[in-house]
Amino acid sequence: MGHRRSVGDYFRAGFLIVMMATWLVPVSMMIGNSLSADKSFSRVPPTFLPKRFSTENYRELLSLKLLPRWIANTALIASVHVVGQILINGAAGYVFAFHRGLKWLFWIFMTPIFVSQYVLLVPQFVVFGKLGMIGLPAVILPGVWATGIFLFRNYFKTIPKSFTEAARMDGAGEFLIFRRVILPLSAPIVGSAVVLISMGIVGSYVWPMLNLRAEEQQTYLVGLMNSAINVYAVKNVGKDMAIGVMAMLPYFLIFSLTSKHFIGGLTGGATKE
Amino acid sequence: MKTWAALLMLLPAIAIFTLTFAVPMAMVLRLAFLDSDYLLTKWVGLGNFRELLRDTKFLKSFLNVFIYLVPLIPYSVLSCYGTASMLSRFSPRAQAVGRFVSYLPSLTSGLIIALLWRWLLARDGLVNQFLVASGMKAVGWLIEPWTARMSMLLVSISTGPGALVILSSASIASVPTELHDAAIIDGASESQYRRHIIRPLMTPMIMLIILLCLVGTIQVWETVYVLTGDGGPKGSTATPVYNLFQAAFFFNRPGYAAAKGIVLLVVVAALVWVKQRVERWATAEV
Repeated sequence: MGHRRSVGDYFRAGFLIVMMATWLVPVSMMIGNSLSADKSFSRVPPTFLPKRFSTENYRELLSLKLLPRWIANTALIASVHVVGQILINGAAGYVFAFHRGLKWLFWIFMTPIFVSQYVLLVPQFVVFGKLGMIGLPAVILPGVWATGIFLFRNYFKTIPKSFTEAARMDGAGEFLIFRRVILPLSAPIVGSAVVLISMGIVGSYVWPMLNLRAEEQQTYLVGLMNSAINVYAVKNVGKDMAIGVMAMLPYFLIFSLTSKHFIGGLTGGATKE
Repeated sequence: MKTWAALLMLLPAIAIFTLTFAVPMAMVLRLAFLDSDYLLTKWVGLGNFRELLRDTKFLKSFLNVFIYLVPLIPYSVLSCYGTASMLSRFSPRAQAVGRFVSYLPSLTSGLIIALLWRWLLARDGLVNQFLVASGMKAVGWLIEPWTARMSMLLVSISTGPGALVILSSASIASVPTELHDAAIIDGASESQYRRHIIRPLMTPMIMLIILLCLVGTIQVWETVYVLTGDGGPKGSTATPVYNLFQAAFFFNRPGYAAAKGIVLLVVVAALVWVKQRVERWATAEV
């Protein structure tokens, strides 16, 4: 910054270090204990780092026979959701950005933001059951994503009207304009939608757990969690923590591939009202 | 754009919305007037809502949320906006590291962070070992109402701010640099610029952080489930959503749970409405 260090700078650095520490300590304890050879929960005293290092927990998890299957399932579900949700919610955002009426419909689409998913869990399960869609169809069906519609609409509104009007003059249909003119002009928001949607799929637990009962159908997270975790009694802390670490890996993959898009796209959507 | 073309493009969204939200929501509305144990169902009119008013555990769950929010709201503004604002004075690389660390805890399952804390807070857990070693008495963290609430707070602090530091950083970065130049030319110091120009511009962001903290706390579920499966000593840790979850799945009363769901919906909608009002008022002041 080029100026002399002041008291304020030290205060800020101190504040940030304290904040970062509160977020890093639990994660590093998780990583530390995942590398422990000690199986017992009643290990006294529990330690910050394991006494005996071992990669046994990871070797055990990586040797799960269905692990590649779970990864493939997750990749399949995520790619259907990424493509489907961008088309469905992007088209909705396009309509709400360029059509003058239908504002009431936009607000109806926003209502799910206010409703807890646990309130709707049972009725959703009943509806999918009546349609015979329990299982993979219920999980793979791309959802309507209120935040996504909102972000798409805000971004599309910043695109000059002359683009869409020119295409309309040339006789292009609305969906063609959306797919060929608007989407290519919206790389940042599409990029962050890809990140947010795939992160959502990787992290979703309750709905796939209810739907995918057969072991070979499960997703990465559900499969891993079911393979060891028992919330009523911790049997092997190390293994549970290793699952926690492994649950983070897909995010690192997504994050490292796309972190530039993530911030650029969100700023674009947030500021240009 | 013609309306029929617009509706045609909305068709998939409308179909899926109906299937996954509108119909289930209508079912919740109807269910709220029924008393059912999944097998026998009878119409009770407003009976569920009348019972709600006398349900001390449900009312207490709102009190619990209030107790959580007293420290959590200032903490979340500080940890989300404060962190982003202070970070913005450091080099881009330091900012990237800071944002990454802030996002780290939300990358793993909240269930596992909660499991870790249950292990640390157990009778002979690390926290008590530490207390005993420093000459204090061991505490039954999850057994007494107030310490159980403190444990809940510990877990929610350690699960991190999620994407909110990243969002705050993005919105601070979006302030046009012309404003900075103009302020400095007019003789403002860096701190004055931040206090009188940046912070007022960030009012909507701060309001959003507060709203998400409120709504998020009402909906906390897995932490209560892992730390205190029954909703805590004397119902002292349960949140409204956990109370609803208990009614639906532990006590097998989906109708009563649906009535609770509707009350929650109204509460959250009211909070959003208040936020919009306050925001309009606060930005008008500037």
